Amino acid sequence: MQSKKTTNQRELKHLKSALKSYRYDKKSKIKVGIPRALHFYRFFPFWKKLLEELGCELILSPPTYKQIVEEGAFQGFGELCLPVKVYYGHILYLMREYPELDYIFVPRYVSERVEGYFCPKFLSLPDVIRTLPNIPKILTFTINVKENPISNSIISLAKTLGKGQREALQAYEKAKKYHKQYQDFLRKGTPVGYALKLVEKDKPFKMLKKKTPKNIKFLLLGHGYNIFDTYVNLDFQKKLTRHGVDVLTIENLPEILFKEPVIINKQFRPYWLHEDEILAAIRYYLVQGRKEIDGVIFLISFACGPDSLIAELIMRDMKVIRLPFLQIIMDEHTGEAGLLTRIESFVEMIKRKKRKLDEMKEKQDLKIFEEA
Amino acid sequence: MVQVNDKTHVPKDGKHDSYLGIDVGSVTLKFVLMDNDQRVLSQVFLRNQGSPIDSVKFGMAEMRSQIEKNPELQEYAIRACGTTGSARYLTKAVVGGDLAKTEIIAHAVATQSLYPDVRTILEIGGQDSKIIILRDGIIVDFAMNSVCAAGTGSFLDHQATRLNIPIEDFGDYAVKSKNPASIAGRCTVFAESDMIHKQNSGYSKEDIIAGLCDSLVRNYLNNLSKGKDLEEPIVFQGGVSFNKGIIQAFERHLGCKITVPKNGLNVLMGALGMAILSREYYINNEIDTVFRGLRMTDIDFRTRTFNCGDCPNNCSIVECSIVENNEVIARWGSRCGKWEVF
Repeated sequence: MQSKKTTNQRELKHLKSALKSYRYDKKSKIKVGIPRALHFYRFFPFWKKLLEELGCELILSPPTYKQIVEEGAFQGFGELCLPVKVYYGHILYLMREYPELDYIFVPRYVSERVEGYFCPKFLSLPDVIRTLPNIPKILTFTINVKENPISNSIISLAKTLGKGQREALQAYEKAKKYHKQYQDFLRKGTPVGYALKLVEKDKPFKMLKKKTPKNIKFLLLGHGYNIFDTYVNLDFQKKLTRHGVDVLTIENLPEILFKEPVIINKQFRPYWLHEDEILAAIRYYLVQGRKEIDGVIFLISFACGPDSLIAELIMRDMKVIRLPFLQIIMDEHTGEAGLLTRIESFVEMIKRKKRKLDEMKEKQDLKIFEEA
Repeated sequence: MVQVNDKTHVPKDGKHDSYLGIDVGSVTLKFVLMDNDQRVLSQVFLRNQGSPIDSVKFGMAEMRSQIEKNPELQEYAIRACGTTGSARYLTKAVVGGDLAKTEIIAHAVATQSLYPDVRTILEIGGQDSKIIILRDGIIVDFAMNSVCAAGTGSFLDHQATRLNIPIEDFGDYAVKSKNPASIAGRCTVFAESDMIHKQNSGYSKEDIIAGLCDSLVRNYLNNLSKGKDLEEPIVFQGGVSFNKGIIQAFERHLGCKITVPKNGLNVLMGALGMAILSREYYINNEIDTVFRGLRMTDIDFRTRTFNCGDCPNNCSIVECSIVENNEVIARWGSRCGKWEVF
C-alpha cells in the first residue's frame, strides 16, 4: 500500500511539472488546447504560428503515456485505428487537466492537393470528437483545396476568434513562412522529434551536431504519428540507433522527389496524400537512390486501410530491386520482445550480408591482384 | 560455498575447444556442445520447467551429468557460450553467455552449415513459426508469425491431448489417412470447433488429423510466405518437423521435396547455430569467456519485478540477481532505458 501511494505522488509531481512546461504565454486571452496526436506531427509548427498570431494561448497535451492510451482505447469504438484512439486519449487529457480551456483545436483536413484526400478518419475528426460528452467548444477549420483556397478557411477560423480578414491573412502568411522554414530545416536531415521540440520551446532552428554516419542506413516509412510517437511505437527509432543504424524519414528527403505524381498503373491511381508521399519516396529509391540505403522499414498501425494497401505495393517493388524490407504492424500490445526480435534479426541480417559482400569483394580484389 | 567465478567443470585448460549453444524457446530448451569441427559432442532437449531460469539450470545439470559420465568429454574446455530463443537475454545473464542472437540468425547459420546451398528454411516451433529466405548463402528475407499462434506446436499438442493421442504418434495417424477431412485453418479457435464437428459426425481420427495437418500448412503458407518465392532446396525444422503428416502436407502444397535434418538435429538447430556463432565470436575476438561454468546450477538466482514510478508510464522493471551476494546481473523493462543492466 505504502509503495503505491508514493508511486501516485511521484506521478502527480511529474504531471505537475509536465503541465508547467506545456503552458504557453499566459497573458493572451483565448486558451486553445492542442492534442499531441495524429496530424500534430505534421502541422504543429503551422498551427502554432497561426493561432499565436491570432491571439491564442496554446496548451499542448504531454507526450503520450500509458493512461492516455488506456483512456483513449476505452473511449474509442472498436473499429478505430490506434492513432485515433490515442487522439481520443489526448482530448480526454486536455478536458480533465484544463477545464478552463476555451477551445480544443480539432482541424478537418480533407485535401491539401487537388488530386488527393486525407484518410477518411481525418475528414470526420471534428464531428466524431464533438460526440464526446462534456467537450468544450471545438475550434476547427476545414482544409479542402478542392473547394476552397486555404486562406478562406483561415479567414473563417479567425472570425470565430474575433479577428478580421486582414489579421487572418497576415497570420496565414507568417504561419506559412514558418512552416516552410521548419520543413527546410527537416530536409537538412534533422530528426522530426528534435525539430518539434525546438518549435515547442520557441527556439531558433539550430542544427544538431553532426554525428559520424553509421555503417547502416534505413528508410523508415509510415505516418508521423506512428513514427514519432515514442510511446506507441515502443521507441522504435532509439532501438534502431542502439543497433548502429542511421534512420531517414520521409520528412528528411528533398522536396523535388514529391513534385511529380506517382503513377502505378491505369486502373489504380494513388488517392491518399500521405501514402502518395510514401510511394514517391520509394520511387526514388527504386532507381537512383538504390545504393543510398540498406533497408526499408514500414511501420503500420493495425486496421490502417490505406497503409495496408500500399504496403503490398512496396513489398513487390522491394522484391524486384532486392532491397530488404520489413513491415511492422502495431497495436495496443506493449510486449517488446516480439518487436526486438524482428529489429535485431533485420539489422543482423543486413550486417551479415554487408560483411559477406565485403569478403567476396576482398577475395575478388586479391584475385585480380594475383593475376596481375 | 560456490565460487561464482569458477569458470567451468570442464578443465579450463582442456586439450580441445568446445562451444556451447543454448536455445530457450517457449516450450522446450535445447543445449548443444560442439567442437571445432562442428561435431555435436553433447546435446540436451527438454520441456521447460516452469521459469526459464529453472529450465536452464535443469538443462545444465543434464549436460553436466553427461560430461561427468564421459571421460572423453572432460578433455574439452568451453571457450564461449551463446544464447538464443525468446528468453535469450535472461539466459545470457544467468549462464554468463558471451553473445545473444535472435532465432532467425541462429537457425539460418546452423542450417547453412549442414546444407550450404539451402534457399528456404521453414521452422515451426512451440509458439512461433518463421520462414527464412536465403540466396547465395546470404539471408535476404524472413518472416515470423504475427499475433496469431495458429499452426504452431502448442496447438497441435493441445489437439493431441484432446484426441487422446500421444503427440509423438500424431504424424503416423495423419499418414494413414486416405481421405483427409477439410478443416478450417484460418484460426485455431475455428479449427477446433470444426474438428469437434467433424469428430461428432463420425469422421475417423486419421482423417481429422490429416485434415488438421493440411489446414495448418495452409495457414502457415498464407501467413508467412506472402509474396516470397519458396525455392528449393527447402529445409524444415523445429519441433513440428517430427510430424510426418505436416511434412507430407508441405510437400503436397509446395510440390517439391522437403529436407528435415536427421538425428534429432531438427529441433537443435537454434542451439547448434548459437554454438557455431560462439565459435566464430571466440575466434574473431579472442575473448575470455564470461561463462559461469557448468556449476552455475548451484547458484541461486532471484528475479523480482517492480514498478518504476518516476514517470506516468510506470514501467514494470524486471530484475535478476544472484542471491548470495545480491549482485544484479540483469535488469530491463523501462522505456527510457534508465534501469537497464545487461
